[in-house]
Amino acid sequence: MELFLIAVGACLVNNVVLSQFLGLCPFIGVSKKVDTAAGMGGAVIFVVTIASAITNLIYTFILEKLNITYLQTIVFILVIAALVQFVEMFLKKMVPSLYKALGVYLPLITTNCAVLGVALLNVQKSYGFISAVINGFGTAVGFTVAIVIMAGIREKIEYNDIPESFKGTPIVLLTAGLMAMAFFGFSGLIK
Amino acid sequence: MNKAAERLKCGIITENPTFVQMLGMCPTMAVTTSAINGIGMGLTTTVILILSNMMISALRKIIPDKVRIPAYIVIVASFVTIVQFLLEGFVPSLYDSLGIYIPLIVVNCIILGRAESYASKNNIWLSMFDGIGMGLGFTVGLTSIGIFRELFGNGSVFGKHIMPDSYQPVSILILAPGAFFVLSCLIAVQNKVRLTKLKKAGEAISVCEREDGCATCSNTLCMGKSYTVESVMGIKEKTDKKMTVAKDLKEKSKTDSDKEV
Amino acid sequence: MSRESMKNTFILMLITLVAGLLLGLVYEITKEPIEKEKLKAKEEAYKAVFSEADSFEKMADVPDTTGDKIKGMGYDADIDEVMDVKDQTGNHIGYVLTVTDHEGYGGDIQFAMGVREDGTLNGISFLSIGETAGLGMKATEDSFKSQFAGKNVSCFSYTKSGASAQDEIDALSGATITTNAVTNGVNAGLYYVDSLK
Repeated sequence: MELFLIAVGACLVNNVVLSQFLGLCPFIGVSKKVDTAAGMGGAVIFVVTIASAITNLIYTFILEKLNITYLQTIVFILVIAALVQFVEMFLKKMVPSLYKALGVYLPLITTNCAVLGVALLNVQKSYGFISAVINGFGTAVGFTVAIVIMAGIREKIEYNDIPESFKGTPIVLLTAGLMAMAFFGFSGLIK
Repeated sequence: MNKAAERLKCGIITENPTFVQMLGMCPTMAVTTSAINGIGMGLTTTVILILSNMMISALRKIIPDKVRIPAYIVIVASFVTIVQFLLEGFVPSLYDSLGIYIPLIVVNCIILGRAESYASKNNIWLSMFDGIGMGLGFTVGLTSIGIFRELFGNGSVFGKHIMPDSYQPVSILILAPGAFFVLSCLIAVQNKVRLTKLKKAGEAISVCEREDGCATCSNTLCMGKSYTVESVMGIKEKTDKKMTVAKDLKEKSKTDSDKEV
Repeated sequence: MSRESMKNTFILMLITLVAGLLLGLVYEITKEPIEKEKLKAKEEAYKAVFSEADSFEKMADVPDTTGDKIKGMGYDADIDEVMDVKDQTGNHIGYVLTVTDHEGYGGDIQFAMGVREDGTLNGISFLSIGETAGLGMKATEDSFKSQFAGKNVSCFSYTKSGASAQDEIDALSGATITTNAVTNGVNAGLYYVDSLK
């Protein structure tokens, strides 16, 4: 039950993009079409879940054991960068179909601050292994939900009559703001 | 010296990271709930930017081209952690209010962007001024957004109540949606100014084609202006296959941005 | 592996090593100020909730602080520390508790509360709170905190329609979860002090 609450909380109540402002760049950059948005979302789910698991293991079994938790930022970012490379190579060899679908988005994820953000939040909230993975997964699903909804809306508003100066990024941000308000509605879900 | 002054002006006004280049949007939106947070985040980033710019410039001849991005990340991450300790020890209130956004400065694309586009090509002295200019530009951006949101969302500035008691604060401005709304309007105003200027000059309207702007930012997707797959690809060996992917993506992004125009 | 990639790897490793060593050094240097700062912040919070106190002493033999008893009352809170408060002549005049409540909207809320010997709540002061700016964060303002001060009740409750009784607190508008968390934390503390006697 608690794990379920963590997942729902990470996905809807504290949506990464709309309430924590992490991963805004891809959220705005890759949300022009639903299928690319979904591809990006898939890649993020994949990487964030694995990154949560690995960073959690590294933190508990290496950093904490050696009493060097102060190295966490530097270690996490390097692990994430390496992980993305590794995942890419692995997929290319073992699951070419998945690689084809996600390949383009993988390298773009290293600097997506949501990945590092989730890893750090897991430590901050002192989650255990399973909670950390669930939290990572929930967060990434939240990202995907937000970016796919956004892409759907953007495909529609493409044909709308928008004031000249609001075209492009401003209207996207405005839409995101309205979505953030809508997501407030979820805050009642958890207690 | 002249060149140094020019770097300052460039960072604060002509290429202001927040208002003109729109880099580092995550912290911009997340911490600007109050003016003091904005200024704190801005100055913290400035210090890290100056240090990392100088260090990367000093090591620019030593760092091999192929592993430069991971090398930059290591350097930036170390400085971020050092600054984090200093804040925790000496300015704990700021440390508490910025929270997780301090370690996340590592992936702030202003820092890696400047490293890649300026510090890796220029001497220490100029890189330092570039860092100061860009950092202060970022600080000015964050502080002004912070002042705006705090003034109308809470009726105060820097924690002091200045609005009359009859003023009912628009709390939504301090909440998450407010960040999106404020930034949206800000960019719209800026677009308006640019559009009128361009119309007057009779020029075609172009979207961010500056070479040292977003294009070199390693955060790749800054505000959807342009993909910089190359810089990300630089992390690893560039295989042919990936190069074609990069090329495809680049072309795609080009058509996308054309559409936006 | 070609020679070039060996060289690249070596340089990258060197940079990482130097960075790591440097971090270790800075960590050692800043460790003490960070500890000191934390202690100072705590001390200030203690003073704020018990201004006439002369000394605070951590009580060693205190009954189970995280016990099921508190949870049994419906409060998801822990008592982290119990301080024995003495005046200048060394008389025991009350307690200062550090309470962490786990029901906050943005995670745990930690605060210090001072309770007089007769059970009067002297006041509360937040040590760590990460609620939403503009809503839950308003809990740190005096207008909210002062509602608890100087009251001798066994249990607080909050209301949205204007406090009318001694033991009623005006809820923060739009932040019922935060109000609930703080009220529960205070109640847990009061209950705990009561059990000390």
